[in-house]
Amino acid sequence: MTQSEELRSECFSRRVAHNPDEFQLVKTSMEVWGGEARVLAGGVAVQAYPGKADRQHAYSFGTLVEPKLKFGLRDRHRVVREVFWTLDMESVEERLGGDFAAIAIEWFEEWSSGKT
Amino acid sequence: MVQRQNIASLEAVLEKHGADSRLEASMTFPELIRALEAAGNLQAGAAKADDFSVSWLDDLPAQRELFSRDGLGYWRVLLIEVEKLGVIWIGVPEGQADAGMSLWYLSKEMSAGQVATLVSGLTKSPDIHFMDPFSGELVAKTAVPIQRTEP
Repeated sequence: MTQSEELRSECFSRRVAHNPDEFQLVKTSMEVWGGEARVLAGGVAVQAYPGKADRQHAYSFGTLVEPKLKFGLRDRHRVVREVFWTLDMESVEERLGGDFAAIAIEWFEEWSSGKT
Repeated sequence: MVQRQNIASLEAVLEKHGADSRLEASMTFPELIRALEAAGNLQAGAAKADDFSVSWLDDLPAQRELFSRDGLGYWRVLLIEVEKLGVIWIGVPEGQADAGMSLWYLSKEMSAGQVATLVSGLTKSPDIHFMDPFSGELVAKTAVPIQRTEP
């Protein structure tokens, strides 16, 4: 992102559940992929949390692709609960014939305690 | 270490059961459990209390089960079946005890306002706030068609 370095890349994080290879795949490709999330995000989508997740099996990344927001409540105040990117958004690309959505990212940090 | 090889996708479970709508609530998951217990509504197949019954679907292994969400880690999910009305899934990311709950339901069974009314009733907590996650607007409670039973 040489041309856009003056633009601040927002920080998001994902928690790795089923796929322990996701760290390496993302670091290598500099893309985050997401799959079917019809019920939870309305289609094929990359899902993430806003900001950093300071816990196990998670990583943070930056991207200039503006996400859609899902709001929730914390201490009765409205907060951004989750973010997601769907295939109909600009700069979100199809992978594997539309089974996955992908966004370009910069790698920030990894929390992978328990790794052997 | 907890064995987590076979944890189901929450997305797949919701889709299988036709849950297509989502709501957010200000109550936290620990508050929910305490409120359901205090209201006598937590046991599987509990006797009717205030016209509601709470039970667990047979094909979901246990109450407060863990599910996975792509990119969002593990979620603890409680299933509430409200007799003659429908089913509500209530979930929270594991390790986020202070976060408000997320709720999923079937739009053909209930409206967001009716889900809000049911959850308030089940927990006897009239002051929970409910929010549409996509618009960020608060959701007002609406009346539920209660099936009253013989006294």
